[in-house]
Amino acid sequence: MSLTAEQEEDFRRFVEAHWHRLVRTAFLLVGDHGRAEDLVQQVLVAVHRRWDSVDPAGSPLGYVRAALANQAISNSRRNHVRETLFGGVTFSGRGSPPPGFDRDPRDAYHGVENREALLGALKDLPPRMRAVVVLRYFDDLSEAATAQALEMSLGSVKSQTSRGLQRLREALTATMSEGSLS
Amino acid sequence: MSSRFEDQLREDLRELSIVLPERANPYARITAAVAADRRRRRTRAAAGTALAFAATLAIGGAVVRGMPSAELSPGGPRPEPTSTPTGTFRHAGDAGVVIESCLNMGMDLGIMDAGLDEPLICTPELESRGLANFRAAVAATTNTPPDSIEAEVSFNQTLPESVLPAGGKGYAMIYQTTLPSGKHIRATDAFVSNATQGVGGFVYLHEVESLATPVIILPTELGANATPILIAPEATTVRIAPSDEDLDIEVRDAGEGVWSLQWPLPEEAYWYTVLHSADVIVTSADGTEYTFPGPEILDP
Repeated sequence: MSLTAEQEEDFRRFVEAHWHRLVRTAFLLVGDHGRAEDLVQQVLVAVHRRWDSVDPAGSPLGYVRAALANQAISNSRRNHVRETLFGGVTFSGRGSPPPGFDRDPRDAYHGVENREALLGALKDLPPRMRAVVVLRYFDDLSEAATAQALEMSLGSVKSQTSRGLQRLREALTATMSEGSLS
Repeated sequence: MSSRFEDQLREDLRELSIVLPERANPYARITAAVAADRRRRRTRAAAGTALAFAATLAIGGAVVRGMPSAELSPGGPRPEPTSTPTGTFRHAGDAGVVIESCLNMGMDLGIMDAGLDEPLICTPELESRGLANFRAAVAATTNTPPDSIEAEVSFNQTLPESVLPAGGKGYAMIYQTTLPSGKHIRATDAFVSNATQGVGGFVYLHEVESLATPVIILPTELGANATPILIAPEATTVRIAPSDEDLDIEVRDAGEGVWSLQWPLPEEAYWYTVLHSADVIVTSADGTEYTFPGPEILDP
C-alpha cells in the first residue's frame, strides 16, 4: 500500500534527520563506508514498506536502529568469512608507532592513538557481540534497550558486553606489544 | 559506573565514525531504492510465488525452508539479477513412498552397511510411483487436474560413491513438467543412506525458469557427514563464491552430471556451518549462471 503524502513527508524528514547517524552506526557494524550506506538503504527500504504502521509517537529511530543491527548480523552470515574493515593500513607493530603513542601498561586501551587498531579489534568480534558493543557504547543504549533491540536476554547482553570488552582489551594489548620498540 | 576503558571506547567510536563524508541528498537515494524494490516485488508476484516453501525431511520431521534469491554479492549497489533463481522448495509428496517401496523390495532400512548386496537404485516401480507423486503434488499446488499434467523423469542416477558418506548408498531422480502457463516445475527425489546412521530421504519441488536449472540435494540430519549434492548435467563449472580456497571447500565432479561439495573437516563439523558463508554458482554449457545462495537455501 502506498504512503499518503503526509506519511511520505514524515519519512523524508526522518531520513534527512537521521541518515548520517545511522550510517555511522552501520559503519561501526560493517567497517566500510560503502557497505554501511548500502545497509542503511536496505533497512530504510524495508521500513518504508511498513512506515504507515510505525508509531510516530514512539521511537522510529530506535526501531530503525534495531533493524540495522539485526540486518548487519544477518548479512554478515552471507559475507566472506574474513571481513576486512580497513583494507589498507592497520597498526601491525611493524615499524615505528604513531606520534604521541602512549604505551601506558596500566590500562591496555588508554593511550592507543591509532583508531585503525580499534577498528581491527572491532572487526574480529563476532557479529552479534560487535552489535552489542556498538549499540551500548556508540548509540549509548542501556542493557535493557540493547536486549530489546537485538531480541536477546538481558543476561546475554551483559555477557556479550563483558566478553566484547575483554576481547577488545586483549586485542589492543597485543597490538601495543607488537608495536613496542626494542 | 563505567571504567576508563569504556569511556575511552565511547569517545573513540564517536571519533572513528565522525570522519565519514555526509551524503548531500540521502532521501533521493532511498526514493530510487524504494522504486526499484517495488519493481522487483511486482515482477516476483507476476512470476508466481504461489508454491509453498517447506520441504519436509522423510525422517525426523525437521523442516527445511528454502527461499529464492537472485542477489549475488554483498556490498555496493545491488545489481539486477543476472542469474536464474533456484526457485522455491516444497515437499512434493511422500518420500515415505520411497522407503515403503524399498521395504517392499525387502531392503533393510535400519542399518545399511557396505556389504549390502542390493544396490540402492531406482527401480521402475519406484520411478513410476515417484512420477505419480510428482504429478499429484504439482496438481495440488497449481490447482491443475492431475490428468492434464504430462511429466517425465529427466534424471535417474545411482549416486557415485565419491559423493556419499563412506559405505553409503544413494540415488537421485529429477522429475519435470511444463504447465500450460509455461511455468516449469522440477522435483528432486533422492535417497541417501549413511553406512552407520541409518537412512534418510527427501523430495523437493522446485519452481524454475528453465528445465536446465540445476538442483541441489541437501543431506538429512541422519546423514550428518554427507554433503550437498548438485545435479547439473549441463554444468561446465561449479564454483564457490567468494572463494573455495578460503573456505576450504572442494567441488568435485563425480561425473554423469553429479557434483558434490566436500571439505576436510571433522565429521562433527556439519555442512551447514560452512555453507552459511558461501554461495554455489553453476555455469551451464550455454553460459547461463545459476546462483544458490548458501544461507538462504540451507537455513532451516
